Amino acid sequence: MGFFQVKDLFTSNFDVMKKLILKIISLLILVGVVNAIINHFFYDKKLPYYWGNETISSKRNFLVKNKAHFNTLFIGSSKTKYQIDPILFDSIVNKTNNGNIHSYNLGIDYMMPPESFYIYKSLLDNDSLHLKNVIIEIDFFRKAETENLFTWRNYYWVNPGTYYDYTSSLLSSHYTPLLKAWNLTIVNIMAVTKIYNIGKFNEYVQFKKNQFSINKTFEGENGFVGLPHRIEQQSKLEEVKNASITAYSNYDKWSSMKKNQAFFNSLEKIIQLSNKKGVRLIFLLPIQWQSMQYKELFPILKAIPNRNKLEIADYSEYKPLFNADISFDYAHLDSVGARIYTRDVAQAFGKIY
Amino acid sequence: MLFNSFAFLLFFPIVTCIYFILSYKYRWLWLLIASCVFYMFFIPKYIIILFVTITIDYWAGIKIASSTGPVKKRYLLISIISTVLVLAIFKYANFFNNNIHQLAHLIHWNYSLTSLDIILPIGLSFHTFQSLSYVIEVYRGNHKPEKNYGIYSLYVMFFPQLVAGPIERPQNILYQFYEKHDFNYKDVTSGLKLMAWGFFKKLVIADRLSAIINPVYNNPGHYSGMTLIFVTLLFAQQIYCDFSGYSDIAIGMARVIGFRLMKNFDTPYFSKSISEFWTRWHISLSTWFRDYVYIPLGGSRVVKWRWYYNLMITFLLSGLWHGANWTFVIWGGLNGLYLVIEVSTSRFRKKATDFVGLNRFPLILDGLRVIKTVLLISLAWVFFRANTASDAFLILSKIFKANIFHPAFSTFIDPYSLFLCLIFIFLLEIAQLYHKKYNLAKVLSEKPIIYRFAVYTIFLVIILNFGIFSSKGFIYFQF
Repeated sequence: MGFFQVKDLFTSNFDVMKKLILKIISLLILVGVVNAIINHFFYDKKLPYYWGNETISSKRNFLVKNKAHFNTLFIGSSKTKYQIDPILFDSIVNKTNNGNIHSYNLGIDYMMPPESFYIYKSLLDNDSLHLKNVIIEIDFFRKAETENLFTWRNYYWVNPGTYYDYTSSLLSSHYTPLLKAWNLTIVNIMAVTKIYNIGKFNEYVQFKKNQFSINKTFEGENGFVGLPHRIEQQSKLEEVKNASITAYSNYDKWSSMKKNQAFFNSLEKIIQLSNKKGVRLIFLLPIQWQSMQYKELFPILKAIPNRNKLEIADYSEYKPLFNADISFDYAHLDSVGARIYTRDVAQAFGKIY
Repeated sequence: MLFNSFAFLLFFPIVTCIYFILSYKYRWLWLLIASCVFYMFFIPKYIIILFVTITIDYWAGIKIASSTGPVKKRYLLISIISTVLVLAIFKYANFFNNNIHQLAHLIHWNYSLTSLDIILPIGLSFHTFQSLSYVIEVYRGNHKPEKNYGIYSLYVMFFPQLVAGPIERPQNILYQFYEKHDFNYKDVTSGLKLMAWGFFKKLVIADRLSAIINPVYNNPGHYSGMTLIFVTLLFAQQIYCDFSGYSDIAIGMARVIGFRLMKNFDTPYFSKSISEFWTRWHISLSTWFRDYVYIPLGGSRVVKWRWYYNLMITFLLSGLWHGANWTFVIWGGLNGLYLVIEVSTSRFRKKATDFVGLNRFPLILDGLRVIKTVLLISLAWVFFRANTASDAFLILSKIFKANIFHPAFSTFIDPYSLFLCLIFIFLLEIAQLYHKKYNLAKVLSEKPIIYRFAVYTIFLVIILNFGIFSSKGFIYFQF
């Protein structure tokens, strides 16, 4: 008897297995169709585009309520939320450039592309804001994490457009085949979660329940929240510093590499939308955790005109930002560090204003 | 690995497909490897402890079968002591140590032995009892010792029932590892349906209920007596849906790959007495205690006081099995007491029923009995769920002082969740009653395919939309 019973499988069981597999696939398609109908007639009508995160809801509501006041917007992850102080930014830019900037910080923990692009596009499409400048953090697409699987935050932004952008960018990235396969598996599970409404009613209920608190509170003035001083992972901060040194010492070489066309296309789409809406879109590259991320982003940044990008990540130019004395952890600055970072961003912005 | 986790979503289909592709003679090995992987998802190094006990019991089984008289008994004792010792160290050492600490404090004795910093291996109580049933059955001559070490390991570690049962006997499962299990359409589909039913109970009802119950039981002092009554009744449903849901998934999973595991629940909340309840709740554990504790103690074939003593001992041990906490011991004791009262007052109750004339209305009588059983069992669940014994007594005191005219439910419950829970509990009970009378699966299988597909689609859409998918552990995993 061989190790595999291929012959037996085909002669005795395969027809039965085939029958069952076909039935299961048919059932899954049917369940998908019913869920799509429920989505179309219920969830899509009841849930706004920003339902995936309480902070997003809170900040977005505040922004819309005060839209006449704000003409500049920061969008990004915790590196924006905790490190960009709009009041300081406005005062520096307005003082040095005689500008009329009133900015708002729409930074949300862990908000990276494609989620950040989705939020930005949705803001432009739905909320008729009076924006002149939008400074959006550029990171490579977020890493897929299993611990957050089946949570609304992980999939509320998934739609055919973001799914296409994510998967095509992943496939054209410099990631290893294994990492690509893993991330693709996770993103497909996220898409299935969205299509099949997995656990969605509970999240709908939670969202409705939280509406009251969301409408009453918003985080910090102008969306900024400063962090206390607390550096615990000094060795990791060294790694972050070394990643920057490695990246910028290889800047010419890495930026001349073939760019991730799919990712670039997704950027172009939001650039075009911004132009249509009369918004000047600026991509901001903050300090990255690993050199791999710089490698992915440098060729793309090279293709973006200088007036549409800010790079605040080079160790040789921004040494104080890598200092443990002004850090919260290896990836974030404390409130003192945030002032220095905001000043650096404002000065860089002033140069292209 | 939890059944309601992402890892399991990949694990089970892969294991099943490879199982059916592999040659028969290697399938047990594949299942053993899969079971090891499944177990090692929790704390990998604990598998060493498991294999040590497996090895001792395997060796003892062979020695017991080849010995006679006191030597045979000695091997049985070695096996029982070594197996129970692991359980005692991991599960009960800190419990006893803490109690000694408290006692020492009372009598001003300078006792300073510190508690062990260990985590309970997952499913330890379950596979310990499964191992014990093997050596006892071999000792009794009801089963031959298993010669194949791998097959015996699989008997203890078989992944569908490894972490929370059903606790099998060697007679029911060991021979199945030698059988040839072809891909059987009927088994696979009925197994999948049972799994779906289990997921419905777990994800749609139990996990939703936990969001209502946990805040109340974690702060019982903040809630009114009526709230506590209501939440305790909900907990009775939660634990049923959680554990019977797990059992359905386990039994269904085993059935997909051709194995038959014993039934673990039989609509227990429709029982008309406490004794009936215990023949329909966690059947594999109840019968384990019946066969290996209660009957060896003399069962009911002894003088009355001794019978009551046997009942109390059996239930106190059952309580202790559930957890190293006085709450579980009291829970077990309370159930034992219910039984003692039930058997000692049976004649009186019959006479009272005849006197009132209720026996002329059997439906009403049965209904009242069911309600009485549910209320008594739910009252005992207070000890099972409460975080501490003092919390349990606080809850009971509030329950008994509850003012029915001032329920004071306040706004602690999310009305959407509660409404959904009540609807789904109602549907569950209807489905269970219907199933008991007509066999739901059989009725459904006789319907045209369009009808069946419509039912399956609606059922899956309900699980997907209304389930809670944040990977909450099963309650019984802690035991």
